[in-house]
Amino acid sequence: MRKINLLLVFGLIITLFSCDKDEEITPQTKVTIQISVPDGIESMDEISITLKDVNTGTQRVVSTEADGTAIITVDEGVYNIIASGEKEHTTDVGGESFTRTVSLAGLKENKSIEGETMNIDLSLFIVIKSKGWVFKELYYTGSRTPEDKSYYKDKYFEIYNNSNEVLYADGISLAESDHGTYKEENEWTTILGEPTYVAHTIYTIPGSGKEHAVNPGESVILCDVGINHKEVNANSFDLSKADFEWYDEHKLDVDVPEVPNLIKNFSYSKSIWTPHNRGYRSYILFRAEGTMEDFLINNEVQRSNASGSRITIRYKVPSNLILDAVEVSTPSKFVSKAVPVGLDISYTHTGDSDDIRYGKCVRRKVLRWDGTRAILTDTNNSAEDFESTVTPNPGKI
Amino acid sequence: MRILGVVILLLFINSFVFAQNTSIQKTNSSKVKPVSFSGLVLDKNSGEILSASSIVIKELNLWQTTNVKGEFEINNIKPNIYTLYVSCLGYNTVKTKINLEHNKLGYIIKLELLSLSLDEVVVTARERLNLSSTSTINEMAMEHLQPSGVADFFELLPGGKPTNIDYSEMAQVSLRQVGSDNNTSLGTLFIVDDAPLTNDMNMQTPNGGARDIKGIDRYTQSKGVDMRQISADEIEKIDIIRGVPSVEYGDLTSGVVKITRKSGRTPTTIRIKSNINHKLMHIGKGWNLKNNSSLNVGADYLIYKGDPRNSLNSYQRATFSIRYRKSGVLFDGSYTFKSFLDYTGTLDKEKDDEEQLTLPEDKYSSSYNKMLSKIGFEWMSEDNTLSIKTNLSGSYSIDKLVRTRGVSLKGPTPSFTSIEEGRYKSEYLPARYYAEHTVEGKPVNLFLSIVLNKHYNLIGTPQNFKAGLNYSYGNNFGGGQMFDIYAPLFYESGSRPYSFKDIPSIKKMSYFVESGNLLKLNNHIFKIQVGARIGKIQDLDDKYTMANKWYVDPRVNISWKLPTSTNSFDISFYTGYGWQTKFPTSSHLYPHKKYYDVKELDYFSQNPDLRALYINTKIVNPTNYNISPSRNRKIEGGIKLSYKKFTLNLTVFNEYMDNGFTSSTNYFRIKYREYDYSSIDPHRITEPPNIDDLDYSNESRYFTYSTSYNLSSVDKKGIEYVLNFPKLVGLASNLSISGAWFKTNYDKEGERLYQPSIILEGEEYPYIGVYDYDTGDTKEQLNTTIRIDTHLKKIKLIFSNQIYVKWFYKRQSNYNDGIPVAYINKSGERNPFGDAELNDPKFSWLVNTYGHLYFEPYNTPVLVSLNQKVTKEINNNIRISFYINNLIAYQPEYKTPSGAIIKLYSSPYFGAELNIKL
Repeated sequence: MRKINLLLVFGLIITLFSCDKDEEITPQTKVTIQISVPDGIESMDEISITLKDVNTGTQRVVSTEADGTAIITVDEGVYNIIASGEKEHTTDVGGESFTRTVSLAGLKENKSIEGETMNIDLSLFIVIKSKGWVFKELYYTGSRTPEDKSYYKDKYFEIYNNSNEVLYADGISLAESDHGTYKEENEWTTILGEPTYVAHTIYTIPGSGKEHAVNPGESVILCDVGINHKEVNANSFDLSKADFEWYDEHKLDVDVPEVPNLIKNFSYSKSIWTPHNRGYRSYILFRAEGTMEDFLINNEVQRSNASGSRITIRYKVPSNLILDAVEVSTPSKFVSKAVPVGLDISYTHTGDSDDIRYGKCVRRKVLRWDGTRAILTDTNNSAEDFESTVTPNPGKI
Repeated sequence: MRILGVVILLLFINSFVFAQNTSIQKTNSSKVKPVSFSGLVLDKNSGEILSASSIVIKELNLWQTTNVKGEFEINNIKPNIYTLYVSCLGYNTVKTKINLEHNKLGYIIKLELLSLSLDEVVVTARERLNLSSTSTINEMAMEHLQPSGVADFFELLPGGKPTNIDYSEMAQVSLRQVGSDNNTSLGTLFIVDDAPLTNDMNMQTPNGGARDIKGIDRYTQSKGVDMRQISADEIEKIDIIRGVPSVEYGDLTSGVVKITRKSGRTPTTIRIKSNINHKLMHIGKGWNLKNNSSLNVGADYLIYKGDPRNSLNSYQRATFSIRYRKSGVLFDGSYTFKSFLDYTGTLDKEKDDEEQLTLPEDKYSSSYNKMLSKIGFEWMSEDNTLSIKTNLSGSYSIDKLVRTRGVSLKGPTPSFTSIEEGRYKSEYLPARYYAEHTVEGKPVNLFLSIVLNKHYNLIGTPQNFKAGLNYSYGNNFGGGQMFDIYAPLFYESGSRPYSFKDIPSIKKMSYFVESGNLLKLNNHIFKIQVGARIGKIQDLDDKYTMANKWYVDPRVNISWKLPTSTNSFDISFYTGYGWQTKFPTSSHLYPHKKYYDVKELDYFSQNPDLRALYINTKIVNPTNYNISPSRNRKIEGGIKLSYKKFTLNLTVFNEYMDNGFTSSTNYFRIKYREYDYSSIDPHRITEPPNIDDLDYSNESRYFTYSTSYNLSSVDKKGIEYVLNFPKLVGLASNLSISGAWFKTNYDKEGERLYQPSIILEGEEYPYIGVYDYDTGDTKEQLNTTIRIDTHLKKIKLIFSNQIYVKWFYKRQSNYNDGIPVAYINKSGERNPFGDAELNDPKFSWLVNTYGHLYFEPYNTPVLVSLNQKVTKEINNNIRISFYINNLIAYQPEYKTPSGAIIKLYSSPYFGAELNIKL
């Protein structure tokens, strides 16, 4: 009898050992992910991080703690790590605070995870909403001559292809806002029910659609008079390489034949146009769907004064047509926005002081370089996206 | 024509009566023997004889002046009891009842020197019922008011209000209205010692929209006389005729300001006045010379600093006057010869320190130097029945408006230099240059007046017949607008130089005839003054519809005085009706031509050697050949009550003018070529393009010019009241209450054109709207001034308290629906604007949509302010005065129709003055 019991035990042990040897065990790594957030964001918790195995396609999801860390144990492998979440973002400019909710994203592609433990840093950025075209420089102040007299026909707007493919400039319109950001209230918001951009000047780049190709990383300069102004005013700039100029058929403007003219689709004045030199007005780039004639008919808006005698007719630009918007003002006078918050949360400026602003512009900052091509930052937050009061550098990064 | 017939009829009656007169007189003399009245006028204190005093027998309208021995003699008086007035410059007028039922010879009258120690001192404007609403301000009132210029006197008229006159802009006349308007100011006639002042030949405005540094309206052309230029010193008396004036006065629509200056012996007078923003100094003296003549001399200087922080903005005025008078005996009567020579100089300066603080070349100055001279000769027959008065006056002025600037262009700019029509090759302006712009005017004005007065008796009552003529000549010999067209200061305007010398002279001729009659019926006294004035501009080119046209002004004033009742209650009624005509001025008749420049090719290449600019210039003559004189129809009526020493004057009036001068915009199209340079490559050509080598398209565009029309309408209604109370003996004060209710409607008639000045899809807006509705407003106001003048004889002080109450002020825009009546398209065709257009979004730019509050009446609540004046005689020679206005001001805050709350703050302003008589 004792001999059979011993055999059973031996059999069990062998079976057990056999089972052990048959099972394959995959090595796992305890991953600690530390996120970092851009300035202006306070909290780091509740950011969802997805680790997707490149080979198997399996996904694991983890959320960050208050200190921005997320700990997860995953099988070793090659992963794409994607972080996303929504946070409150605050920006300060000129003593005012602007807060909004932003979408954050972070990405690390083809990350090899191995070893027992691993630390991975992941920096998040605010999602770019750019459609390719952005304002690179806005020079609206004009300059002073060496004798300190006013000279303002050298103003320009430089727009930039921020994408990685060839874009066409045909049909892009430049507009100046009817509302001045120093005013107590944006009456158009009250009249139209919601914040809307209303233009009082619209100049459009001519072309049938494929005439003006712009490579990635190249810019288009729209200026008042396309000459080398340094010849007449040593403190001014060389705009002889400008791409287009706004020419007003008026006694006080001149037409430079070397620089093609923009189409003056709407102006509230028959006289010459010059952007407001303090920067009280905001600018957009947009492209109309269909013909300009239809656009104007469909987007006509009116306002009148309670004790006024004539109505003001202007043209609104629906947000979905806007390619880029920049709110401009001055720190001491800013009160109300001309651009809807979604398109630009804050504003940029060239300071308050009279003398310093002349000969200076605002310039969009570079986010990073892709070889020789600069990618400009565009988080729809011009206080952060732009450098204020810098010397114009048309055509160059 | 009918009016002319009435006038002729009157003439016949008068001449018939005149023929009869002598026979009537003879008949009278056989029944009742006329009496004589003669005597002597002396100074009460010194016993000195007073020559050149005037003796007036009120009821007979008979007057005479004492001769060099102080004697007077009046003969052929119907025996009765009369009221006698004796007055002399610098003395208190004596009014007394005199019994002339028998001869009175050797009658001695003693006059007292004007002083605060007298019983009767009048410091307000007296309502003179000279058959037309007239305010008379005499020397005492003038001194107490402490004026800096003639504009200050308007404060004393019923409805007037104390204001601190701003000498940095033109002081315009405002008469019987709420607010002011250019036609009232233009239509007020200023006469100084029988010489009229005129501004009609003044064209000192740099054209092309070139406003001065502050944009203040300093320009006075076509706005009447600038009151800043008239000194308030040397004046004996001012009469402001607000009602229907005698036909002797013409070329006016609103009123007459008649200034009579001192002549005869006056002590050396020094006056120094100081106020928060201006200072004034005056010195004057008059001598009686032998041979019954006198000489008066006066000079004054005023300096005004508008903004105490900015010493570069100032206005200065200097005047000098020398006046000579001689009386004597000639033929069977006496004569008076008067002449004067005046100099007035003003200087208006401003410096632009906006941007160019460091540059000395940015300046503005406007100077005016005028000489005015008059000689007048008046002869009166010995029996005082016939007088002939001739006056010849002339003025010459040099007006210069100079602006200089160091121009630094804001960018490349074309230049426009052609003074002829057509296409030409032009240049671009240099980037910087020194520019000077001068407007030089040299207006010359001559005026001749001859007036004949015949007094006669009809059934024992005095009558008067007046006839005369006025001739005036005006011309301007100035260089006009002068500047270098290659270095223009106002380069934005595109204006060109033009000379005033090319403008024709304006000659006006008028005749007038008037009858003044008095009728007594059962002790009711009726006075009627009826006349007509006829005038025209001579030698006007036939192109003008006004050429060779005579304009007739009929005027009548009637008063009816009821017999004095037993309890000394006097009541009289008066009414007046008349037309007044004001002829257009030089800038209305002869506006200068306007230049319009269009760029046909603008080739501003980056390479300076390739630049080409071709301009097409069009010249427009903006003259309105249909311009006609503005005419005002006045009608007024009133009542005067007096009971013992209480008097009430109440006047109701309506003045209506519907063809006043104003400017309106005209649109016209210019055709030009637009050259297309796309066929040439700027990188390939070696010389500037020539238009003959280029394709072009035919284009046209609208331009505007403004011109003068008779489209301004002013309708004035009102009630004026003046109450004078008997002296409150216990308080030693005189109380007077005056004020007015005015309702004035301002309107602009005629069609107006408007093209929205926008660019839409690369083109100007294609239509011009035509509107024909009212665009004026109506203003209404009621105010009262309560004056308490306390006269403390013992301490020789007058202390005046003036409470000004503005009960309400209301303004309302005249309603219209904002819809055009027609529109003009690009081809110049006019189409009616109907419902189809109203619903079409293309036309929304032409429809005026008013805010819902635009036509709401704007009311301001009651406003009360207290002003004080003090005048103290220190001794016989020195008098000091002090005033403070807005000492207390009650101005409650109020809400406007749009909900805004208005808070008013009035700061007090004060001044002091010192008067020395040596």
